[in-house]
Parts: sequence; C-alpha cells; structure tokens
Amino acid sequence: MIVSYLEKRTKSHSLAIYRFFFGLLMFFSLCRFWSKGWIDSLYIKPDFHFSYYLFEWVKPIGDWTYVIFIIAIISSLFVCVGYKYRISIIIFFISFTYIELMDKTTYLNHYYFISILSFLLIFLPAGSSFSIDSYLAKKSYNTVPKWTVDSLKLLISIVYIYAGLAKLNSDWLLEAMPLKIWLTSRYHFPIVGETLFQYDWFHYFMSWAGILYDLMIPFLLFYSRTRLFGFILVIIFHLLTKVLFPIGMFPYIMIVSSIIFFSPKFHFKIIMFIKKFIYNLLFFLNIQKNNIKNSLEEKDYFFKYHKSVLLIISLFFIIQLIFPFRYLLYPGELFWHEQGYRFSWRVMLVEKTGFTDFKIVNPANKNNFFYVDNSNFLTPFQEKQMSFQPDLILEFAHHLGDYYSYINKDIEVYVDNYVTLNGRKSQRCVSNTVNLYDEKESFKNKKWILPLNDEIKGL
Amino acid sequence: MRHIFLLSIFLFFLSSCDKDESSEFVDGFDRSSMLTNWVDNIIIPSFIHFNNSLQNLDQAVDDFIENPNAMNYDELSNLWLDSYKSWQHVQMFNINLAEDIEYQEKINTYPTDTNLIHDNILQSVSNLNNDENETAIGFPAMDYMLHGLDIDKNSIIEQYISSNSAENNKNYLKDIIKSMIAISSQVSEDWNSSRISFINSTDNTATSSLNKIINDYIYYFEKYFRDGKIGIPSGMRSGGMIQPTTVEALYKKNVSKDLTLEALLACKNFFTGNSTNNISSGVSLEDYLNYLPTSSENNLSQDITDQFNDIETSLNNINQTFYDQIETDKWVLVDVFLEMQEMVALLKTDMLGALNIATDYTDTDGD
Repeated sequence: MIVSYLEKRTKSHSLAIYRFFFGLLMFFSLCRFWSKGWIDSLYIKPDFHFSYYLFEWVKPIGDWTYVIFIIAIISSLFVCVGYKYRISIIIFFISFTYIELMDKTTYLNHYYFISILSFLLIFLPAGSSFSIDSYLAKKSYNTVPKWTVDSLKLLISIVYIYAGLAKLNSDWLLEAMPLKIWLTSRYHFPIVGETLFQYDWFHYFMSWAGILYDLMIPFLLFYSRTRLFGFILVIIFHLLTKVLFPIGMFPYIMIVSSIIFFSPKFHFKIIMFIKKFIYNLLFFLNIQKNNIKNSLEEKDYFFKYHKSVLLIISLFFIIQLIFPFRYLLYPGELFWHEQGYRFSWRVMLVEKTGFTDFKIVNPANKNNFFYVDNSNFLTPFQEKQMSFQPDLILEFAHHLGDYYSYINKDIEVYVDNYVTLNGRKSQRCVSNTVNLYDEKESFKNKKWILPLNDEIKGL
Repeated sequence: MRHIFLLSIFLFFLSSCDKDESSEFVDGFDRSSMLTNWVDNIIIPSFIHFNNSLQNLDQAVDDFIENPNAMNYDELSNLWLDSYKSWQHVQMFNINLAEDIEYQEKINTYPTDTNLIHDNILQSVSNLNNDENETAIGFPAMDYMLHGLDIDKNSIIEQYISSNSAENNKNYLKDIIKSMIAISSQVSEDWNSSRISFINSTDNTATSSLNKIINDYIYYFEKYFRDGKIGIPSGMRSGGMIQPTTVEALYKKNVSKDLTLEALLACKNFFTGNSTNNISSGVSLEDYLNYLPTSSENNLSQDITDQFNDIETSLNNINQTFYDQIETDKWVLVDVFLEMQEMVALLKTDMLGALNIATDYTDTDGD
C-alpha cells in the first residue's frame, strides 16, 4: 500500500504555483523587513546578541549583514520565477536560517516555519514546470510524485494541529487567557473595542473558536466538499489576527500556504491566469512572444535518488512530529520555564512581562555588590525579551560576568527576576540565590528556575 | 460551525470598518477622565505652583543682588528649597515639548559642573539655555552658587559683595533663574495648549498620551527617582563605588531627603490621583488597576500603595544627610534602594502586564 502510494502521481502545477507564491511572499517579507529599518535596529545597532545553544558562532557580521539579506532577497526572487531553482532554494534556506539564528531575541514561530518549509522545498521538484528553468531547458515536467505535494500539506497540517493541541490547557480553555488581557486592552478599536472586546463571553468564544479552528482547519481544507468553506475561514481568521495583533507577514504566509490544498486543476487555472498576464505584459512592452508558446517538450518527473530523498523527508517529518513533545522531558510548568517551548508551534499562548536586574557580587565580601544598568548593554527590545526568558537571562548573566571580571575574576552574578504569566501575580522566576555565572547552558533541566506557584492543567 | 462562521464574518466586517470618533462607552473604563484628572488636577496646577515659586525665587534673587546681606541670603536659600521641592512634582511629566527641549536635564542635572560654572562666570556667558550648559544651570547650579561658592555663609555672601567676580557672580545667579523661568513658562504653555489633545488621546498605541505618560512615569521612577536620588550615590547603580558627590542638593546637603520624600509624594499622587495640594482626588491608575480583571483579582493597587509606604518608612530611617549617610553607613540607603527596586518590579511586571500597554520601543512583529 505504501509502495503504491509512493508511485501515485499528480500534476506538477501544484508545486509550481506554491513555489511561485512562496518566493514572491519571501521577497516582499524581506524587503518589508529591510524598509522598516529592522536590519539596522535588530542586528547592527545592538552590541550584544543572544545566541541559540550550539549556534553561538552565528552572529551578525556588521554592515555585511545587509549582504546576507541581499542574498536571501535575490534567491527568493529566483525561487519565485524558478531560475536555477535547486541552488536558489538551497541558498535561500541557508541565508534565511542564518538570519534567524543571528539573534534569539527575534525568535518567531513563523520564521521557523519558513526555515523548515524552505528546507523541505529543497527536495521537492518545484521548479520542474512553469519556471525559467523549464523554459530555458525547453522541457516541462507534466507530473510529479503525489507525495511531494502531500508533504507540503502535511507540514502545514502539523503547524495547525500542534498549535491547536498546545491550546488544550486550563489557561486557554477555562480562563480565556491570554486573550482576555489582549482583547480588553484593544479597547480603542472602533465599535467592538469598548463593547465586544470587554465582554467575558467573547473572550471565551474567541478562545474556543481559535482552538476549534486550529484543530479542524487541516481537515476542512483536505476534503474537497469543505475546502472552499475552510479557505474562507482561513482568510477570515488570519485577517482577523492581522487586525488584532502585530504579527507582520504571518497571516499572508498561512493564507497563501493553504492554496496547496486545492486541486491541481485549480492550480493550473491560476498558472494560466498568471501566464496570460505575463504574455499581455510582454505584448504591451512590445517584446516578441511567438517563440514562447508551446515549444516545451512535456515529460514526467522522476527522482534520481528517490530512496535517499524519501529517507530524508521521512526523517524530517518524524523529527517534526516528535520534537514539539520534548518538553515532557523537563519537570515543571512549560509556560513558566520555557524549556522546550520554542520550535513547537506554541503560538499566542502566553502573556508575560518580566523585570530583571543583575547584581554583581564580590565573592570575598558578599556585602560588596552593585546592580547593572541593562540599557548599557541591551536595546530596549532585547531587554524586554530577556526579562522573562530564563535562557536569555543566563546568557546575559554570563556576558555581564565576563565583562565585570576585570574587577575580580571570581565575580558572581545574581539576578532579581520577577515575571507575570497570563495575569497571575508576579513572582520570582530565576532564583536570586544562585550564582548564574557558575551555571552552564545545556539541554539539562535548569534547576535554578523556581517553580510556578500554580498549576496549568493540560498538554 | 455555521454560527461561528457567520459570527466570524460579522466580526471581521466590524473590525474592518473605518475608524470614527463615536466611541461610546458601554462598560469600559473612562480613560479620558483619568487623563483629565491628571492634566487638570495634577499637571497644570503643579506647573502653576512651580512657576509661582520661580517668580518668588526670582524676586529673592533680585533682592539679594541689590542687597547681599544675611537676611536676604536666608530668604533666597529658603525660596530655592521651596521651588526645588515644587519641581519634584513636575519633573516626571517629561513628554511632548518638555522631552524635546530636554527640560528636566536643563533644570535638574546633577552633579553640576563647577568648572563650567566658573568658566561661564569668568567669561560672562549669559545665554545658558542650550545643551552644552545643562550641567551648569538649574537648581544644582544654583545650589552651588548659594551654598558651595565658599566655605560658610558669610564668606559666600562676601563672594557677592567684595570679591573680584562679585558682579559676575550676581549676573550668573540672575541668568540661571532667568533661564529656568523662560523654559518653564514654555513647557507650561505647551501643557495648556495641548490639554485637549492630551485628554482625547486614550488609544492603546505607542504614541497615545495615555501610553506615553504611563511609560514615562515608570521610566522616571526607575531612572531619576530610584537611580538618580539613591542608586547612583549609594553605588548600587554605579559599579559598586559609593559616590556621595552625586547626591541631589550636594552643597546644601541637609535637604536631599526632603527632596526625595517630596518626589515620592509626587509619584504617589500620580498613582492615586490626588492633586498636589490635596484638594481633590480623581480617577487614576489606582482605579484603573481596580477596574481591570487581572489586577483587581490580584489586589495589585493595594500592593503598590503598601510599597509606597515601605519606601517612605525606609527613607525615614535616614537620620543624617544623604552625603554623610553614604560616607558612614551606606546600607541605610541601600535598603531604600531595595524597596524602590521592589516597586519597579511591581510597576514593570504586574502593572504593565495588567495594562498590556503598547510600549514605545517594540515595533517588531510578534506571533
């Protein structure tokens, strides 16, 4: 059965149109990022950058950071038009992932989604038709293995379903947190701000509707009878989140991504529409067009190393399915200690504010201490993000320890750290009695994080 | 499912409507009345009070210049303190024009730069209202001119009578008060003229007056109140080395505590909504926190009020000048710092979390 599934074929249009939109969207995302001045304010201005464990070597490279963005932007355009597709998507994956690894402060789930999506796209024949490559080679692949298209659907489904599962907890379902805080604070929205957003039932309605949406949308999109309805829901949901929250390009990425669920016929229609547009454009610009039409030799696409590719893809998905559950290896409350929180599609789950001041102590005389002014080292954004994330606090403590060791190489670093979680009273998160300069980052449980004085039930 | 669908469409339709002004209250908190209370009962009266005190101070300067004797000197010194106290009630409102022209830096940057002051006196520099002279004007400079020019009162008065630079000293004293009056009336005028737009800017956005004034209140508490008055002199925020010469009112010395207590009162008044002269009490952050679901459940406003009291208690443990206290036993001041520290934690975590206000720096995407 598995073998026969792997031999099933489908039209190549689906991959082609997905590739086209993905490249286009990445191009606009990166240009938008640049035009907002974020390359400068996030990667060049700060003196200090928070690194991912084991990726400490990935850092911004001064003004050359712009070059990385240029590379990513050009490769996204190449992916879009399908020029040297394979090498372009590899370069895009590497440059984009490098950018995301440069500073942990800016971690977003949808950046991670783009990274692994572009990794998956490396192995899919998305440039085999409707591309400059196929035009130049004068051949277009008509069909591709069906699993290639399905793998994209699977990845998108994982994102939704895992995001839904993560909401199966008492804060979200029984307290309507953190939506209650977020909605009530958007009181300035016209009409609904002072009315709906303030109603208790509405907070619960939105929480429950949100989790139902996440858990059901892959299925609605999967079956042809519910697909249109599902797609309309996708558009409404994501535009709604776009209006309510500052989530940048994410809504568009998810809306465009769900197009993959439509039939190859529909994808073909979109391609014909775009082709027509291009022809008209070329005609309008008075460029010869008669040699473009129908000169491509049509073939079927077969993988050269089918087995190896299948092995890689299978491994990739096994990791994707297991990785989000790694938090089970850590005791305590995940939302509080955040060990295993990232890369797991935990979206919009917590509202945290933190306060973190560092105390430099002379070990010879514990009465000899002072507090550090964080703003001498961090941007306000970095300070805000660091203040409630224990691993960032540890990394910064080490940076401070290194910096102040000119005073005394045995210096100790302690922290005054208070965090609020989903409307709870603030309490100490990182212990104030542990010398953080002595603690090392690792995958082991961080014993210096104090337990939350409360329990959140659920997954 | 269909209901959800229809409702979602309805919601989406609603939220994509054009913004209009008719936002009537149903059950929301009246933020506009909070801003009105702040501006009408606290900010503008405090500025009036402060400007009046500057006028009195100006008169005292004139009297002293005309007749530099011990009586006029005492009067001048007292009015300087009155005005300095009054200033503690306006310093925290550092938004709009005040921020643009670096108002608080021009009025209260300490320690003052005595070398620059002497250079200015020597060269008869009279235009002091610029960024380069921020360390040579305002209350700290006046403090030096009145209490630090020489070793004791009589010799200081002599500096205005018989020293070579007596004339220049008089002129400089007058120039300082002139510059303070000039920029203060500018900032006052700005508050008067922007009153309406201030009251109406209640959105939860980074640029609304509601968010700006709250963010600024916390910033003031942390940087100028905690660090400036206690943290830096005690070494807690200055690399561990005590720095007694960075206390507020260094030359008068015995008033640092009074000024800090006055600033504490100002912070408390802003939080509770009490007017400076205690005539009225209106809507303020205290009421807002009691209204919001999470903070009212957590009794946050009570915690903050208690913490104000704890700070006051710890301040009252100081029985000598800040300067001497730091030199002899800095731990009394460190205690005050730690109480203030707890307050900063409350303000920056629980209060900001409950208000969920858009901060002025994060304009990046979230998810």
